[in-house]
Amino acid sequence: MSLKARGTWQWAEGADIAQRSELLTSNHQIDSCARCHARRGTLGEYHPGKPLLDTHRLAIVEEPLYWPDGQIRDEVYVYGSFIQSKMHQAGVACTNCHNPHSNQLVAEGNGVCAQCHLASTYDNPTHHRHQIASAGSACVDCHMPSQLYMGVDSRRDHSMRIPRPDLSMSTGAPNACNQCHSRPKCGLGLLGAG
Amino acid sequence: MPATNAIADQSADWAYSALADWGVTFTDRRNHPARAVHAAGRGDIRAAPVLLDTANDTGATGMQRASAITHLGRLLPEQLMPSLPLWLGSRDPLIRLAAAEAIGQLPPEQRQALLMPLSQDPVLAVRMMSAEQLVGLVPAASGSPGQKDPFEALFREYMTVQSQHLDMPSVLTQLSSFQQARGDTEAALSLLQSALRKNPEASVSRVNLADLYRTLGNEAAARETLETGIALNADDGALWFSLALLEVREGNAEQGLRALAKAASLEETPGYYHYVLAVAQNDQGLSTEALATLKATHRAAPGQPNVLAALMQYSQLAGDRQSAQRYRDELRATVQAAGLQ
Repeated sequence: MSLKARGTWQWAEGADIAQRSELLTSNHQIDSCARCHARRGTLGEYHPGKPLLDTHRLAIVEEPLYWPDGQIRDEVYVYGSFIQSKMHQAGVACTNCHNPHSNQLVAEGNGVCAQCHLASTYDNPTHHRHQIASAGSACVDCHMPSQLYMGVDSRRDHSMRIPRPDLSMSTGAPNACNQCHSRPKCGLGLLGAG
Repeated sequence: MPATNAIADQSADWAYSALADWGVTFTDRRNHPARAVHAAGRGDIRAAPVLLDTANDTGATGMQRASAITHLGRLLPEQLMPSLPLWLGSRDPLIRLAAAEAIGQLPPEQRQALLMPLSQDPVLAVRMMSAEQLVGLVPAASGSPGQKDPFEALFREYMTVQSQHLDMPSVLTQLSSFQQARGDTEAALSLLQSALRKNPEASVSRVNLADLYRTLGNEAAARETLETGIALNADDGALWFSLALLEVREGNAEQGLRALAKAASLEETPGYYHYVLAVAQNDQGLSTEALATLKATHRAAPGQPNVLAALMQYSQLAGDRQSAQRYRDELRATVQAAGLQ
């Protein structure tokens, strides 16, 4: 698998989010990963290098597979939520965050996000409103809430969205805030509220 | 900022208030696509305008747009037409695929011309969907010289691709529908039987098999198929609904009502089964029960035009003109909110 899809990322003067220096013009890499990491039906034989929809039919956002806002619900794996994200629109590929062979993250903790999101802006209590090093200060806890499958396998939503408790009220979709703030005296180190 | 360790109220409402305290506001709170998807899943046609906006929003992701097209097609297919050419010509195959699927909700006379270009689409999933949608519209070639099936290559490709997955009941069921649409009832029957041998609890396969037996005039086999399925899984509403229709066809009104009530009780959100139950109740002279069913359905899942129309009609029949007028006004407002008038 080519790692070219990772591209090079640059910060414009004064910007706090990096951008690809060249547009990602091929879906080859994420389509390759999606063959296994997507909820889909199979069409005929597997052909390496072909677009995903040439070998599979992807499940869309619908209940009960997804929550109405597109968050993962049933076992939809990763691709379907990732392609809803701004990251995908910006040209992020799987290998920007994961080792393609081990699936391990390319950096520790918030370091993965800080590759492109300026830490001084985002890994900061003024942004995340939680104490540094507390659970709520981890980027993924607010933007990639996890769901437990088969009682043992915790998987994160890859649509990397802003928590929307208002949509929980109107649609029943979960939100990252209440995923942590759901137990009495949970001691999560929330700043300035309550 | 003081640290807060004990949060007394941890509801979504609390979380929303906490965000508001931080100055976070959501301008799309009332018309967020998630609300439309949620409402569409409950038959609320007022979701149509937001779904249409999302489907046409070039700033939205392909997945969001494709999903909106699919939901709109299921909810209110008449709203698809103005935008379909745009979606069918999209560079994103996911959007073309969703458009091809949604076309299946349109009247047959509108489908063929729209689907024709997709039969040559460069992406297999789109061609497969086109084949499924076209097959019911194109009569199989008679075999006489000079009469050639215009989609022969497309249909052959469909069969070849699907035939590689005959271990899967869902594929066997899709192939069965395809063969039935081509007029090969025997093959369709055999494929469904095979699907059920592989998974006796495959609900769609079982309902389709019962329907196929019915079209062959074998109501006894249809009954046995459904009753066997219910014995395996009594919580399958589709089986109960199909059995109810069978009972009604056979003149067993009481059993039909019981099966309909069971099907309705298994609906996650009151919708079509409840509506049909109410119609059946009314037909059986149980007008009070019919109105109660409709009112409960409307309360739980508003915005369903068939429910509102029935409420209006049955209220009128019951002599309750005031309620009938109220439901008429609500139906008119609902239809307008859906963008139909």
